Amino acid sequence: MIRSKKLAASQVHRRSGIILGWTTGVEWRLNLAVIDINQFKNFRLQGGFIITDIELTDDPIVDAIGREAIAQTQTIAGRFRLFIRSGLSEEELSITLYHEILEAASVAIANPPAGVMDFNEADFERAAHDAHKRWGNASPANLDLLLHFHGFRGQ
Amino acid sequence: MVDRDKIQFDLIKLLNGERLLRLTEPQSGLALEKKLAPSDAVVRQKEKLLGAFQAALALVELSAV
Repeated sequence: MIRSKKLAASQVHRRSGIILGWTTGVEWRLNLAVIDINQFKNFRLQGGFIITDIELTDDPIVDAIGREAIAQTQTIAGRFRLFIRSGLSEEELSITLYHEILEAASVAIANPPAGVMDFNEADFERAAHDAHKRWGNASPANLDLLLHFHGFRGQ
Repeated sequence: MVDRDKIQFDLIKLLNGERLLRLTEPQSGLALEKKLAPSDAVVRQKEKLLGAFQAALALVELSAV
């Protein structure tokens, strides 16, 4: 598992954007240099959820009474659709993805794991920051790790 | 009681940092929304909202008979 140590060396595979790095000890990390939104589409997550769509949009996300949003996650029957304002930094986008998926999964099911039952907004945000520190940029595999870490099980 | 799988849950993060939870039943178009209290557990707030939403849906179904 990854800890926040400095990488002693790293290699970047240019075509895939994958970074493989070695820490000073035996730890390692495998990460994507850039978050490719398309990799999430139709990915099946722990808990049986499916991300059917993610859109990064330049257009304001505005509701019927004019309120502007920076992110919106729709869930119906365990299927997620995410809309996120573009212009976020790589780190902000990663943390937003971790946060949206964990909170949406917790809200979507009748009996969420005990680990998230008492989470308020700050707890979800903290969990998202911790996930980003622990596993790096959000990826389908890392979102799966996040859900598993917080007690979601099954496909 | 309406099948939970037919309810759409929308989590919305506003520009000012506030979080909204909106429940929608697509067939009737009924929607109910709540601004989430930042210090309260999200799951419990959702359960309360869902209870109110299901009661409202039952009223809509009764009025349609």
